[in-house]
Amino acid sequence: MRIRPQRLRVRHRRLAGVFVLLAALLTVGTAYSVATTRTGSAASGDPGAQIAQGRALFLQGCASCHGKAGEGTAAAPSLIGVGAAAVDFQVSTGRMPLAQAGAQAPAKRPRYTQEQIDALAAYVASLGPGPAIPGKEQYTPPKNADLAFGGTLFRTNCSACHNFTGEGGALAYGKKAPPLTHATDKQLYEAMLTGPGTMPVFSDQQLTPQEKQDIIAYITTVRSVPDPGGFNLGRLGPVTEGLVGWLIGMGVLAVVAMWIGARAKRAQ
Amino acid sequence: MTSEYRPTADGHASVNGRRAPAQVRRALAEVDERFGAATFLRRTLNKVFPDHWSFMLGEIALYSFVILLLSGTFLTLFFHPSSQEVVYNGSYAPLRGIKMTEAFNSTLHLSFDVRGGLLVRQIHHWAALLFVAAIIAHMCRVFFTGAFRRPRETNWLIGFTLMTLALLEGFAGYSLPDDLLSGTGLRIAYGVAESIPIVGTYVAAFVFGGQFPGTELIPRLYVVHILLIPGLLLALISAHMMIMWHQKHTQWPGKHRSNDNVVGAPFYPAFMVKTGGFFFAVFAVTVLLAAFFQINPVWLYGPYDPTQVSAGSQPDFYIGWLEGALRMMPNPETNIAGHTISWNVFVPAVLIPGLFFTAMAVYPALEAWVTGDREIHNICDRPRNRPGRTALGVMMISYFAIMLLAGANDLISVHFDISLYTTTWIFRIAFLVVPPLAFFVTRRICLGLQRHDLRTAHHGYETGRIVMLPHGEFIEVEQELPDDAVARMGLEYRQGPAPELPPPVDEHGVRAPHTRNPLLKVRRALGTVWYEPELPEAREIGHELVPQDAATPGDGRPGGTEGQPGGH
Amino acid sequence: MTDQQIHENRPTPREDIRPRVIERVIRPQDADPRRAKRAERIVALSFLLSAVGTAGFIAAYVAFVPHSTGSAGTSNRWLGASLGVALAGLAFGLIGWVRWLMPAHETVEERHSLASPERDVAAAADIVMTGFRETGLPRRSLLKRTLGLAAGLLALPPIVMLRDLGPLPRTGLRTTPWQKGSLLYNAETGRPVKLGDLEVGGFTTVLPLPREQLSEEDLAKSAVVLIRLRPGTNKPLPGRENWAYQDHVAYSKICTHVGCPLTLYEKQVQQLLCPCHQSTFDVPDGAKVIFGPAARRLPQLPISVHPDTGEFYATAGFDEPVGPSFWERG
Repeated sequence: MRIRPQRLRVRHRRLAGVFVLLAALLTVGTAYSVATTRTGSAASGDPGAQIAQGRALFLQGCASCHGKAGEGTAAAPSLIGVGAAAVDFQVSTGRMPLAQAGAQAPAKRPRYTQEQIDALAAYVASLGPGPAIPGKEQYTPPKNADLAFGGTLFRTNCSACHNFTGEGGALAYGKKAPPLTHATDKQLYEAMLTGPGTMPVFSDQQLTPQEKQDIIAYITTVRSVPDPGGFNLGRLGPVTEGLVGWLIGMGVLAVVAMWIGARAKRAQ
Repeated sequence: MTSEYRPTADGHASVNGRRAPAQVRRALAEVDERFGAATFLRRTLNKVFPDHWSFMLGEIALYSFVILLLSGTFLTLFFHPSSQEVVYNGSYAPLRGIKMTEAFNSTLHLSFDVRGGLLVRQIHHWAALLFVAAIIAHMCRVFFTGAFRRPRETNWLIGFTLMTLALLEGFAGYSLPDDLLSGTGLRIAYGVAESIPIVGTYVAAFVFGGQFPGTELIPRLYVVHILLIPGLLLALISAHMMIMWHQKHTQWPGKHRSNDNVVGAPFYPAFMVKTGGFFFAVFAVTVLLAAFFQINPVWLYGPYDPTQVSAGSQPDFYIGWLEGALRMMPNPETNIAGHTISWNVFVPAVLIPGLFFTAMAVYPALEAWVTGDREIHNICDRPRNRPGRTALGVMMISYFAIMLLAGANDLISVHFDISLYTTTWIFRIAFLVVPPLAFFVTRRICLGLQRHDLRTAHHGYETGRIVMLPHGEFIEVEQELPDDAVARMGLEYRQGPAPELPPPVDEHGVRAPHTRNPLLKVRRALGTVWYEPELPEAREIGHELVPQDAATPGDGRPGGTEGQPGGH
Repeated sequence: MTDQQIHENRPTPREDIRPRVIERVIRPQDADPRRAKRAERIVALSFLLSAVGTAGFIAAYVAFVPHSTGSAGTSNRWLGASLGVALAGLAFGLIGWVRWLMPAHETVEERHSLASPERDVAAAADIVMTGFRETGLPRRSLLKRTLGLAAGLLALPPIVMLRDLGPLPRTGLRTTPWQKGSLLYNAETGRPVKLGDLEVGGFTTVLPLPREQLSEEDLAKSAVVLIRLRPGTNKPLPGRENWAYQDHVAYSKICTHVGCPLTLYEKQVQQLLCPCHQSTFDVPDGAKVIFGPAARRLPQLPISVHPDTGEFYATAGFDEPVGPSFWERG
């Protein structure tokens, strides 16, 4: 069929308009989503929107214990001044929101996405200044981190609660120092920085970011270092070793002795 | 094919009618000419050894000791017992670059750079755990079967000394690598030494060569660990074995078994091969544990630093009870005239162990005094037949078990979700309440088991078959026990009731000794622990059940040998 | 059979060649040679397996050279498994050989009295007595006493020589390197701690000098914890009102029970918990013991801050010995 050129041009012009609109929407939308992907605590998107989102989430999931403006109640402490890092730690490890009151908030599956956590963190940070969420370059140990120095720092400051290799330990009043086996680099940094629960606070002036990186490098290396001696029996030391020695060692030998001394089978 | 012993035509005894080959006779004659060995060999090779598995627990200890000597010698070729500081530059990356003692450094080198080094280290440590565990199990067996009675009292004391030396040896051994865990234990040892009244600071300063940590302790522990204590152990183990060899082993009661014989298998070749096989079994278990179960991973603990410590720090189990005692103890301390007595340390770490260990050492003498038993005993007691002794043994075990568990109270707190201070209180109360309870419960259980044995021996065991008699009555068929089953019960070796007291005033008007002598009163009072009430089943049976070929019952009644033939 | 009979080479009754059998035990393999052969084959297989294990050990030794934790683990497992098989094969084979193939008859041996014949006991006693009289000791008391003196004294030199095992305790346990003006150096980094380094709820380990300048013994007794308490919670003991600085307090790190370092600080309850035996110290209340076997509060170090540098320093040393109690402590 023959098409008259004028009509074609008009159709193209109209379609072109559609395409331009689509392109513009795509461009803006992509730019928006890229711009709102966070690496730092400062929301590079619209900070106001994030804080508002955070406030909404806060009122829904946190205010019943922490108060409508985070001022604290009889059930939970004030969050004014705890900072974004503390929120990121508590919520990303699933400790908060608390499922039931007890001596200590246990880690569990996180209830919020990272975007929601960031919003909550931004909101709480807006209540009062506190430690910010560390940047990736802050909490990621470099390739040449001083493992051994990190180990020394760990054993002086951390192992008394968390055990030699971070298997966890007992505290008083029903609390425990949790195992460090599944903590991410970021969570380790934030825990040191904010001192969750009854854990002491190790500020960046006391333990510099570099020293914290060395500790993180040590923890993450040692928890995945192979055990050349065999099953590590929980890395809990002589208690589990003694159990194995008695139950398996003496047990097997007692059975062998019983075999040796058993009555011989008579014919017929 | 069984061996038949028949004389040859010219009257010489031999196996299967053939004499030993000339070469064997000649070789034996050569040795015999120089050493007079043949007569000894004749007695020795035919020695009969009883065949029960519970008699092999001491062998586990003996063979573990051999393994410790072998593996330990290998370790001494690589370990440097020096407190000199070096910078680590070896295979284990997380420690590279930090300062540590040469002792720790050489241990890491041995573990990561010497082929078989880690295996031998782990064999050595697992063998040490088995060594002490076997000693304890063996000691319990000897205790519960009464094998420490005359003529074996000396061997009990030697064995007790061996146990104490083994504990010290193990402590010295695991402290040698100078890692954070064992170093914490040494710090505690220094504190315990300091708590001794009057001489404490001097003891600590002399043993450690000054203040803690000092540079002298590791080399001194090394000498103690590879020379002094092994030498003593070798000498005492040899004495222990020689005495046992000469006195012959005890045996369980049973058919054909009496106080005057030993029933079992001959030493050569059966027992030799059995015990040789068991040595390889002990070795195999130790090596397989070392292959697949990590023990004492000192690289994870790090080198010792007096400003560092870890949660969940415990010593090896044989010292773990001491740790538990230190944790349970409340905190009394007295200050008199410028001097401090640390009861909070001295009582759990020195007094209580001292009391318990002394009690263990003197127990045979105490039991002999209370029961007045001077017989030779070559038959093992079944624990149920001696309720007092068994209950005391269980009580002592429960004390140590509570202390051992208390030593792990922080791990128990974490893994069973019990508040930390609550665990301390639970163990404090358990220490006071559980052992006496264990005593009473064990005693009742033993008496119940005795009554069951007596009933079964007299009436037979219940077969579960119900039969109707012609006149309509239903009975359960009871099957008489075979002779050897009754013999194995050892009913004639029961403790029995306390002997009758003589009348307080005899026919001449003289007051009996037991009313005047306080020591005899104490003895009588203590006797209530050992003697049992007269059981109704025993009264019913009387003496029917004493087997024909058993020796005269040695039921330990006091009064020496009067009225009874000598117990040989 | 007496020794005399043995020496005379007389025909020996069969009981003396082997112990007397009291119960002949006939096992299935004793009656059936095929079963015995099967048992022998099992034992032989076990020994062969053991040999394979030994060969495997040598192969593993050559093949696996440790140089890291991973390769050390491989080497350990293969060496251990092969050696374990080698030993277990021997164990199983030897025990099976005895139980299945060697005679299983119950044999008996008589116990003879351990005691020697009466006349030997009497003779031995007489010999001892007679010989004793020959020594002359019963009559010669001068000889006896001087012998006792000489021999007894000889026990002393070895004891005396133990004296130089170590120095006398003297003042070592009473003093530490802490004195007026000592800065508080971070124990790992060596930097002097400044005001503002610690947040509320922070704690750190400090020393009077950088670690390299301290001997091991001084290091062991001079470790101190510096804690920043929550404002207003510190309750100084009488006379110690100026020992803290702006809620920062310093206490000896060495537990007064048996000396473990107190690295476990619970900031919510502001208590130091010793991981060794659970002694607990209430930091705001002068580090008083509130649980556990320790009997004394921690020695406190009085601190202040230089106004110009902001560095913490000790205003005096400890006023009492640190660490566990001892007899002469006072």
